Amino acid sequence: MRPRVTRPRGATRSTRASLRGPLALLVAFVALGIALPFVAPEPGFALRESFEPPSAAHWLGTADNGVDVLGARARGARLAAFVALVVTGLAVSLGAALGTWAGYAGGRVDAFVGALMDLLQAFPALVLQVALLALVERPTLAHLVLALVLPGWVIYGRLARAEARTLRTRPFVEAARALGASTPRVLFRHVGPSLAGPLVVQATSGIGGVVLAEATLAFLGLGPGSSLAAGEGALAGPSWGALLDQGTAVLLRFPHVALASGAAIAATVLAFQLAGDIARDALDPR
Amino acid sequence: MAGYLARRLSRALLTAFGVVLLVFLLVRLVPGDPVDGILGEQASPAQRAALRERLHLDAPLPAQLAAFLGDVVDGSFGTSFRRPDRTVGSRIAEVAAPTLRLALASLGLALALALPLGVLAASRRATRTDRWVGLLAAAGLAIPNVWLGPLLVLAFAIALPILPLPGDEAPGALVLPAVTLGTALAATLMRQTRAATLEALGQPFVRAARARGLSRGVVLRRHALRSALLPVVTVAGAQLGGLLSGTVVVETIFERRGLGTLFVEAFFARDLPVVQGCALVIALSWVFVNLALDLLTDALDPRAQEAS
Repeated sequence: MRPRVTRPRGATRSTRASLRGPLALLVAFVALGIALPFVAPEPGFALRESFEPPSAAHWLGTADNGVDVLGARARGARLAAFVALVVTGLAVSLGAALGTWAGYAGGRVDAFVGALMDLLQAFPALVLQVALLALVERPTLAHLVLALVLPGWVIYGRLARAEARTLRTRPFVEAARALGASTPRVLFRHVGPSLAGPLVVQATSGIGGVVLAEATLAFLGLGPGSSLAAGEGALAGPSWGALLDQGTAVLLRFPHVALASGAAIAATVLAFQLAGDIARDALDPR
Repeated sequence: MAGYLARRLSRALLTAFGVVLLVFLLVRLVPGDPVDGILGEQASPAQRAALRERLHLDAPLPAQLAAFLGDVVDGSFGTSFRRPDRTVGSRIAEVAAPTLRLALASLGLALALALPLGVLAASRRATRTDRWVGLLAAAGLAIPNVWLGPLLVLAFAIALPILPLPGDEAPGALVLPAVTLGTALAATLMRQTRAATLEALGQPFVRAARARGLSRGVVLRRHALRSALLPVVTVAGAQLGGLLSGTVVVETIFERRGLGTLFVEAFFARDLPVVQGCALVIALSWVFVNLALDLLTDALDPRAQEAS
């Protein structure tokens, strides 16, 4: 099935054509997550089959305990997709809400939200995430999402604040106010839609960043995806980062594990980054 | 100027205080008792009480904050849970040097790559060279540290054994970690250098220099690059935070002792004072590097100072 590409306003045909590469990668990324657990061998304990090179039965070889690398990668794709979408969704909503409010209201609200953003940005994101996950004994998926959203919303907040600040003085917003529109109505009907473009652009490349952050945390051994033992539920299973961690540990003798899982991370990040660049060209006139 | 300096300094101090406060609150406002996390469920009431007292957890919140602030100001950052004989400050001081070496090596490497390539791309705008440099930068930005590290080890320590393996204390041990950490920064700086040089090349003073009969090379080096340096330095400084958190990953891959590995080790040992201390030191150093950079930028370019 071909993905339906709706052309954003202002996008030219060439933009549409150049979206194909990254979109194909992304579709492959999602398809891998949905389809592969059904066709790839189930993870089982087969100690003798640990770290086998790629073969007909295991296309990307096996990892520790005979876990099929391709199958584990597919389950990792599900986890990555879920985390990336939920975290980006929450971060954009929170950032848009707080940023718009601050930029539009100005004054004390603006000073407070601004100081909060400065403070959160004083920590490198990874440091804040590790510190947050350190506080719970057994981090669950919810903790991971929280740890990623807390530093993640700031960039959208800054964007929304800057836009709302300039939009506030634009004639169409003043006109709406003069016509008696209430503040929530002005924000939702007039300011909000103008914000959507820049936020979408930022979020597109941001998704790749979340995938990378999730994998990095799992690589360091933090978060629910860091355990290699596949647990219960649709989202259980090792993260790409955990697979990469295991692959790095046996890099000397069995490089295929690290190569396969690292390639999945790099390709996904690159796809979203390219999609972000293209979205920028299409939606951002500057 | 003095008033301006004071304003900047007080803002940085305010942010620093906010950082300390946030770290303090993080540990105390999260549901669950930190004592449970450290000692486990089976600990005796006496052990709990002793630990509670040592952590000042039995005192009222303002008193706890005062004690914590005192620990921060005298540089001890409290006492490590796992090594009660050591202060957190002394454990951090021990590992600060290797981390600083790694960060500086990466920064130096990134600048050494980015400046010439960026100027080259700008001077050959829209040619094949420009496109190749652009592609290189895109690849450098997309490849995650967690993968680049193992790849470099495979290539230069295993397949072509010219550099030491992770964990070996041999000369050249700094090379692969520095390349891993510096690549993304080099890519960012390269893009920045190209853009800044292009902008400078469009300025009247460049045309004037060319009209005076100076060669393209001289104009590029002496005039265009010099005025392009300022934005590049600013971006380089802004990326230092990323560099600091990058050391966490890179030190883990290459099994180096440093602030990053201490941070992660402390996480797994549930040594909260050390986690706290590392997070604080990293965040505070970023705040003050940014302050120093702002002041430097203003000294170099008086226009920026008027604007702020």
